[in-house]
Amino acid sequence: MMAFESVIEELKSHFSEAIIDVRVLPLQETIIEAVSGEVRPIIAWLLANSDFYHLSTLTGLDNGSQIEIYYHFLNINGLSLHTELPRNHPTIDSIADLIPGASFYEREVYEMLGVQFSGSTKKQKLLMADDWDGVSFPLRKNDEEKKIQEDR
Amino acid sequence: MDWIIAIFKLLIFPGFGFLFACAIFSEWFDRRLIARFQGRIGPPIFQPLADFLKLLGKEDLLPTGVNEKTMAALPIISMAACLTAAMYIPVAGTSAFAFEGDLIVVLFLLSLPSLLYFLAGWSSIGAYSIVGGNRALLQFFSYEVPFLMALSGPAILSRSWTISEIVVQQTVTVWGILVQPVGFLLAMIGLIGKLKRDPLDIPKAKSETVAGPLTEFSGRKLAIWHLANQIQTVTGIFLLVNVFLGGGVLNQLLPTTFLFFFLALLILIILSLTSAMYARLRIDQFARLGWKRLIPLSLLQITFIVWMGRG
Amino acid sequence: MSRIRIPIGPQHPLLKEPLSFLLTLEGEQVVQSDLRIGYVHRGIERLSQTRSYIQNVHLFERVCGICSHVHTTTFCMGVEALSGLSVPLRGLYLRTFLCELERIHSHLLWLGVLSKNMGFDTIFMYAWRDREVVMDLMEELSGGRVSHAANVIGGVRVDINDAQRLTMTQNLNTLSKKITSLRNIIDHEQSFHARTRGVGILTEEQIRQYCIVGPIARASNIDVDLRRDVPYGIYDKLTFSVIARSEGDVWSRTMLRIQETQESINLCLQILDSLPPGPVAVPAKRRVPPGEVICRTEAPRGELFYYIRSDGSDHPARVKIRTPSLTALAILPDQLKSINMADVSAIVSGVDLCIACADR
Repeated sequence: MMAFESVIEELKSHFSEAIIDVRVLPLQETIIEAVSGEVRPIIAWLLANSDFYHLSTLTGLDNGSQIEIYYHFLNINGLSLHTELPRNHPTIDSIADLIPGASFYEREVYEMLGVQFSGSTKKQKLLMADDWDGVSFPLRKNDEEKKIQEDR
Repeated sequence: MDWIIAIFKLLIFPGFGFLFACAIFSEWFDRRLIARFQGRIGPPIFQPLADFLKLLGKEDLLPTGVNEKTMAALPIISMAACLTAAMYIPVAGTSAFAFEGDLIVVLFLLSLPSLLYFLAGWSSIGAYSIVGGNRALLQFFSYEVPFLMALSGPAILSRSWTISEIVVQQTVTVWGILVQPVGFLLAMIGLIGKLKRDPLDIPKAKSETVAGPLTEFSGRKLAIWHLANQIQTVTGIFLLVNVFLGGGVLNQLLPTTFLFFFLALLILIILSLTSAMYARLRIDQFARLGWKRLIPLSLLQITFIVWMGRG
Repeated sequence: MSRIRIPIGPQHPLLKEPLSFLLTLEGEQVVQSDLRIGYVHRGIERLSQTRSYIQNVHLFERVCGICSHVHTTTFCMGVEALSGLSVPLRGLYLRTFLCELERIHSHLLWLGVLSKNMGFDTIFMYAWRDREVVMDLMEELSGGRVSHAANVIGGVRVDINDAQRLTMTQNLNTLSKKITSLRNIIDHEQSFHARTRGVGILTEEQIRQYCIVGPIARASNIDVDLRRDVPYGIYDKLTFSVIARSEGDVWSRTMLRIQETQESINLCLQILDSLPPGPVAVPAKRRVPPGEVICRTEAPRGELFYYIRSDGSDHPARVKIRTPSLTALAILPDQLKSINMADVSAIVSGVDLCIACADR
């Protein structure tokens, strides 16, 4: 079983161009910033060479200029991969074939933020109602939000 | 004058009025006893009557595409079968009518409600009803054969197919349960299956098929189905008391009326106890139980009876 | 043989909350199942962005009815870490006490629902009667039987005095005996075994692939419990054992949850015994410094995950919740293939779904 620090060191050496930054959060969480195209190879490496197989969830968020995606792993220590996608065309490789449990999380990020996961079978919604129009993604920041704040 | 007496027997005692009162009482007693087993208090005495009257007043909906006449006729025929069977079963020694070979007629009439139950599911068209109906039929085959064979035992022993004759024979020799306890056990299991009580209420398992074959029934039709089930309970219990427990006749040691109703209550207590004590069986588990254990046991019992009665 | 499609849900006596399965049956065998969720989706993550942190504590309590306290515990843990607040010991002890009480409550409720769905009404009545003891304890502590509003950012807002401590200890001891007798009944009841043994087996490999958490994973030999592995609150000061079993069927999940209930009662007694004096909360500022934090706790159904990002104002920029029921839902369609229709109720009940949690 690999110690946690050596996992980080090995990742940094294997994927030196892909990994931009490593930072530590309160409550023992480590975040690795990576280039969006390399996320899938990093995850494949993690599954094959370390004990990090448990994906807690995928978090998607819209910070106004870009869409950020986090992949959260847990094995006593928390390890998260962070990547940023362009807002007008957010696409990233799907990992649902590597980790079948990720399919629900990818579906939710798709319908909340409009991120396309290439390689997954079809665009499926998870939580939205049957009459959802498929283009208004609830968690995206748009002008409507400013209007709600002004109306208050 | 005869026809006045006949009307009295049909409508009052031991006919519809008496059976209705017994049905209300048996449902109340059953619910109250199970509640006490489960640490609750249970409903008051008028609750089953109140439920019946409330159901009569509810809206009577039917899904589109079903045959309305069939749906209306099925509960009525079911209740008619139970009431007719009750005419031939002696209550504390007296039955409304009796004739040679009435046990066979009673057994036939008492097996009708189960078949009509399946028909109710089939003609309701909905998915839950059809699955419930299939299960009802599968369960029917698993318990009906042992039930019929168990009830033939006393008939063979008494060399008669008339219920009153069987009762008389038991007073001369011994009660049926002492000679054929296995038969009594099989008859009880068969009765639980017939009445669709826990643990054999598989067709109407609420968590799987909502209400089984009766899902689409409401209002008056459902009230009559429910009443028919209760009258079948009472009739089945009376039949068992007559055939296995000597009809309450104990050679003048105890008054027949008291003993008859006491034994009927005892059987009801056993039925309630089994309801509270077990989880529901799966249909394939019960079918396996029926064909692998109950039917061979009943065959053994019949063989034993025939061998005993030979001498 | 012709195929019948049976809808289980959105409204069905089997389900406590709306969920839709469309089962395709051939005779009594289930051939395929299609799952649809989202009937109780209230958009809580989006709502949280328009409310302040203090209002969000109340919002996140409403994600679920049964595990409401652990949601606010996780959220408050995260915000306190971002703000650099240190909750006093007494507050942490009381928070953990209510978490464990909630675990007992959740497992007893689940036991009743499983038994009812299998036609065993007696166990349902017994388990829910014993659950009343727990709910009375929670009402004594916080004023609400199901919804407590006990957490604030910086600690808790409830407290108990010595007399209450004594009565609570006595009630918990009585409850412990009742749970033991309930366990004996289930241990020996053959019809219960017949409906649950060998039903709904999940292998270790399936658990790893679908990233399932909680009692379902522990019943299939995956020994993970965040209270022991990543201790939060005061769990490093308490002694308890984590139960893990290896059969992986509904039966082992039942026994595991009952054993966990007994462990939780022991934890509650330890907490009541060693409750330190002092304040129960520290004051918190309205604005939270910018940053992000990830916090995980062990809810009754498994690992509860919160990601909070703050931009320096008094509204959070993003809160992401992942509840343990969502992982259990992911594998349910696979579990429901090639089984008897009668096993559907045992499997769906055995998984302990909380759809309101999963849908948020």
